[in-house]
Amino acid sequence: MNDTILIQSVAVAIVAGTPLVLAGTGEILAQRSGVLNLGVEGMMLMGAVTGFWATTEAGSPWVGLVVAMASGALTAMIHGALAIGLRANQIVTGIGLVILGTGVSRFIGDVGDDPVALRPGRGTFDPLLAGGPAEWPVVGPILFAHDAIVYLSWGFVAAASAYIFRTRQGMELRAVGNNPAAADSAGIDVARSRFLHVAIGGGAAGAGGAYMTLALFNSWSAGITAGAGWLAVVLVIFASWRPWRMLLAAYTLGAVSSLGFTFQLLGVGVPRELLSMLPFIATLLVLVVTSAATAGRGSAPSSLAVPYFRERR
Amino acid sequence: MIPRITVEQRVVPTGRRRGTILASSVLVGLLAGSLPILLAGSNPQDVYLEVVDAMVGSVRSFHETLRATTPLILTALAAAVAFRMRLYSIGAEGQLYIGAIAASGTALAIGEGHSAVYVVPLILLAGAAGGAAWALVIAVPRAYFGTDEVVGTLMLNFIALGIMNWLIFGSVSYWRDRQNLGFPGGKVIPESAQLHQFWGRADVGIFIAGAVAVALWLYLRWRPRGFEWRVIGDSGRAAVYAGMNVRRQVIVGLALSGALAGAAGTTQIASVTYALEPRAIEAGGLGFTGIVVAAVAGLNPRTIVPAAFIVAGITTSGPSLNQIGVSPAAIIALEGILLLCVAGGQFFHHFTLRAAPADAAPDSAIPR
Repeated sequence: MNDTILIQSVAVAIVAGTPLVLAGTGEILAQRSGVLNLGVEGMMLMGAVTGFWATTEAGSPWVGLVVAMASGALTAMIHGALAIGLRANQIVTGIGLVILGTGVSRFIGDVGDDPVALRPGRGTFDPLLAGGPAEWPVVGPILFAHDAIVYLSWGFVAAASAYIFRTRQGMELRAVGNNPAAADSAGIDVARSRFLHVAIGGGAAGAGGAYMTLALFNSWSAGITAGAGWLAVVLVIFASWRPWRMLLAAYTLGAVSSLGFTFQLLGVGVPRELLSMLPFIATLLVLVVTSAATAGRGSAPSSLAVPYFRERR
Repeated sequence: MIPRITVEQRVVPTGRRRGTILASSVLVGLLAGSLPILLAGSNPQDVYLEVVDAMVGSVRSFHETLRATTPLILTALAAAVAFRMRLYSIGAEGQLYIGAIAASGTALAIGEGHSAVYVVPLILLAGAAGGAAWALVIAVPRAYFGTDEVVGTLMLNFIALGIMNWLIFGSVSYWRDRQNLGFPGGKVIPESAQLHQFWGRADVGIFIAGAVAVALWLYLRWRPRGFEWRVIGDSGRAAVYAGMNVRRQVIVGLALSGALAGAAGTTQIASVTYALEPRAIEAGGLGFTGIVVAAVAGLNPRTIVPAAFIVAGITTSGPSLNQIGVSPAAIIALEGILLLCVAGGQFFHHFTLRAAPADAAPDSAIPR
């Protein structure tokens, strides 16, 4: 048993889990407002391609990150306009968003004489702390050797958690998600709150997608997120709509997905295909057990995926 | 005077109004779909003409479209059955994989030297049974505990994909072609299990899927169960008070939905791949495209047949867009845009916008 393999696996799990932390925490905010956005995969793909494109144009991954967040938020606003404005079926529009994002991102990647899909990377996020604590044994590689986005994602999780549970606006958000009619009576603009949080969720998903093209792969190819967006939706349930649990869940999943690699190094023969099923089997069990224990939706916001009509209050 | 737009609620929309709304939504979708094509420097008209040409432009392309229509009819029916009960199963994808595994396994077990007359129905049944069994994994907890079927079916999709990949890539299973030492693939099913091609490359699959659609339409329209499912969809509580066994209907409905998706898995095996080929079976995204078709068709089994044909035509036209220098991805984007427009357009089933003069007194709400 080699300790460095274990330490490296944990470090890899954190990096691999970061897109999920970002997108999943964003989805928590959207779902807390009562809007189910199944389109995370589509928003991540949009962020991934536009972020990589902007980075290759501007030469700075930070420009890419900002562009990715904007395009993710814009994509989410389509869902917002349809689901909140036109009270469309959120499951159908969410799937529409995935198909749209899959197509448009690939389209953007293919277009032009110098297509994004063939461009080499032009800049990635450097480790924040070169030397110093990053060199420390064990905790160094696990906690201090990451790039700025990993730390920003921790900040985002902390901020989202404090916002949801410790601020007045967060309480209003929970009211909108649980009982929009009551929130409306209390003078909260339900549509505005929902739209805002869906857009923030989209921005976070865009950032998660960009982290994949800019930090994990340093390139763009069609469908690069490979289901990470769906995983983020899944993790929201696993995390029972709490940001800190999302962090834990995402890293656990990151660890599971890097387990195949670790096992290979250690010479343990478990097929990769079966390992890839583990998180889904675990979530399915959590889903069934919590619904059996709570007679319904567990800790989900009561009005999740239910459009709000003031006229039908 | 600036007209003010007011939103008014409507009663149940007429069929004609539904048709107008659908046609307008599709038109808006095609217009919106032109935008990225224009931005990429191509002519939308060329793209749409190319799509039509690839759909029905030649006998050969017509046959290809027919073949692609078959599984889409089945997965769209799967979505329609569940969505009519307001059970938002997005599990057709996984049910299709399990159906494909069951169908190819059965076909391999039967072996050569039998007649297609009973082998094809047998593998259809096997596929349907596989899909239904996979749906039951979530249908039972949904019925008894109220487990969220949206995420539950999503989980099952990934688990099914893992199983299918493992059978071919991760193990030396019954399904895997052991003679093939190159890229792992499935064992080819016997000829009697392959769908009969009667006309060029078109095969009997389209008649099977069409017959299923008609049968389902008749069943939902003329048998009490169709009515019961609508009631359960509209109000579960009303259904309980009316003495309906909602739990049982939820299980039966989701199982039927799974069976239809599983049958689509069979037709993929028996008409397209002729072996359990995970990459090819996964590539179509047939489960999700089925939701597009079902939504466009207003969840009506009869309308699903032409809608599936059109969406299949759009899907199969992807490669030919390369010839006019447009990325085939435009087709996927167009499908997404169409779905979003149709979903958004349904707002007008229940609401209508009216321009009212800014300072006019509001209309009396009291019925005369």
